[in-house]
Amino acid sequence: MPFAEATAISQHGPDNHSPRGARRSNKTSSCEIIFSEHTPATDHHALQQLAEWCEQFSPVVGLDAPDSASGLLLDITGIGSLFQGEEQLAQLVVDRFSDRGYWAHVAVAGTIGAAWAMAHYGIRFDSRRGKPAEPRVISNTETSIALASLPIESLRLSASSIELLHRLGIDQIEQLETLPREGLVARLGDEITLRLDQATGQATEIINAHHIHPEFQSEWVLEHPTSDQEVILQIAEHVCHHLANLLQAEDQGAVQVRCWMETTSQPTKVEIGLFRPTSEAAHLLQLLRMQLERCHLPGPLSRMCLQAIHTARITRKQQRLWDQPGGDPRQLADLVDRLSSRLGPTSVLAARMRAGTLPEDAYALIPLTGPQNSKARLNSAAGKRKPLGPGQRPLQLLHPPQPLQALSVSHGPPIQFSHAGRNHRVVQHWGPERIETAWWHGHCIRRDYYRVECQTGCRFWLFRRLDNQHWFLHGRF
Amino acid sequence: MTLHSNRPFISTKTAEIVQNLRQQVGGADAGMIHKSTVVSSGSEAIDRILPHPGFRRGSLVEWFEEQPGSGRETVSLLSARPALNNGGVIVVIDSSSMFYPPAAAAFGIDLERLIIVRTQDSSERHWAWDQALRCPGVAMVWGWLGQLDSRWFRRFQLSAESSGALGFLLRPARMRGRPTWSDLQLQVNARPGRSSRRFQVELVRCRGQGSALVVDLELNELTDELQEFKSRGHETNSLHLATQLAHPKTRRRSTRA
Repeated sequence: MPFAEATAISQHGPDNHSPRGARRSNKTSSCEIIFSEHTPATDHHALQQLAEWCEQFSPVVGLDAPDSASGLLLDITGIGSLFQGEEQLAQLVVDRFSDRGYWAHVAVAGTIGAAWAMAHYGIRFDSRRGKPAEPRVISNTETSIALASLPIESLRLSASSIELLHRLGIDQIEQLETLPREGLVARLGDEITLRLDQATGQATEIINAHHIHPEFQSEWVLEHPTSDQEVILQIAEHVCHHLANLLQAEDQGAVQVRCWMETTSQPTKVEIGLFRPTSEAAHLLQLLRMQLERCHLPGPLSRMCLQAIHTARITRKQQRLWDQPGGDPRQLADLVDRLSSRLGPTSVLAARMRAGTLPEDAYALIPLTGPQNSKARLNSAAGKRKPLGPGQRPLQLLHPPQPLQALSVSHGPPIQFSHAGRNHRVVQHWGPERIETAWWHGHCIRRDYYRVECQTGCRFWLFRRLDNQHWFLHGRF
Repeated sequence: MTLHSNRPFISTKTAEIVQNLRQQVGGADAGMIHKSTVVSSGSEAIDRILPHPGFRRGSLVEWFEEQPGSGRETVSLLSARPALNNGGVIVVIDSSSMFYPPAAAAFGIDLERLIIVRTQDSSERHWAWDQALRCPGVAMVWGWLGQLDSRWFRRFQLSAESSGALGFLLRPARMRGRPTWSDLQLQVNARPGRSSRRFQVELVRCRGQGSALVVDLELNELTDELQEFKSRGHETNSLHLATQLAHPKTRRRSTRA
């Protein structure tokens, strides 16, 4: 988030009487500003989780952009009547988000473009009121009128198109609509007319659903919600067997399985990645039980739904995982599945060499379960790299490198350093080996590495940063 | 012609059964471990100080070090390589996320036969060790392991025995001398070298025996082999009589200078 926007938020803190951006120290209520680095990946992940949570309102929920999403799109065609009208549904969405600590801007319109425009630019919101904004619901006949006064940014145009339009003095959508279409296309390309048509309903647009409802799923709905663990495990056994039967009927095996558990408060989800496609109920149940034992349901269970969200054809001929004599592939695959199920898919990994410059970038770790474990991904991670000699790299690499107090002559090798409470005198060294990143990778990192042997015979891998001449311990041999 | 003997007749099949039973009981003293249950360390010098010679499949080996950077990881991983010759995979339990795969690849470990497991806490770590040790498709489990209570240790030993996997447990020096369920305890000490890396490997403890043997090794960087070298000056052991020492009947305690 740009600094300018962050400043604006701090002006509307929870305590409106506090000086702008200041911390109150002698009042009962405090206004404290927390600064943290913006991480787009974290935001994206959080938005994906909200998308899944919004499936309680609509079966089709998507992100409004594939990579730089800032909102959610819900298809509520025909659903309004289940919530006593679209306005009530919109208000319900606002209230439920508010319960979760979010102030959501919600707009309902006949097209995706119009709904997006209204939600982002058509809702007047004053945070001083201390509550979320009212949702806006626009009928199909009101769409053009509602869009006319909105800025051109509400059309989801690229930054270059927006800049160009501003330079031409076009700031609002109604100005665009007065221009001849042929002239717009000829001078500015198809993007503007396409976005206009999508907003007004003259061009179709669909929501890319975050979750495509899987073909294979089994569910159990309880008439009386329960917290009894034994009952829950029996339900899990039932859905596993049912799902396995569905998969076997189509000769398919699950590679990734999701279990949705709806409770009287909020739903819980567990995901299981598998190393090899499986349609064995016992194996699925074993992995699911491991997850259920560690997961705490927020309330009594009312519905359990087990879905095979990624499947693959089960080959009749058992292919060997590792083409070496000995080693039962099936048992190894089961081990990988059990480890992943309990420890998490990012805890059971394969390593592949990569053509990265820095030592820490010289390899990639790939999860062994789930759809990411495809051979293609494992093979694509492998990069061509100059082979290393034995002993050129340490078996222990520290993350991050540890700063050291080292003594060296001018810009030469280290003579002495302190580590783990001991002083080490260097009697032999090999280097420097200069490792630096290319300028086009962003911030340039330049290091001179030394393999050193101390008077005890212990060997370490040190480097000196060339920008500030600081020494670091990177590895132990 | 009749043959008469006072000794009871023992069929060949019975003899084989008796031999297998001896192996299961762990008759290392009698040196009757079948060759197929023993895997070499890949270094003749290390094999000579081991009881079988080599590591018994389905057993645990603890590795200690004098201080960080001694080369314990190098020696133990090189000694683990031959365990993969008959198939299976090596599972590295890497709780501290310090294991560096490119270095292992440089030592000839096939990354396609390597699984890295990362854990968050000790209970996960112990569980992962146990699961990996009991899997028949795993040839070797290698990793760092701190505090371990006797119950888990015994469980590891039984899991390794059931599957035939070999477990190399890299443990902190303070654990040396504590009660153990491992077959062997080895310590790697760094030794000053020249261009080649040098180590000293000490057999601290061997189950059923009270021996303390040492061997000085040098890493041949052309062949990736650990070879014995004789240090100049005083002899720290009498390993020039290695062939005699290797025989279980003539093994005797030696003291390290």
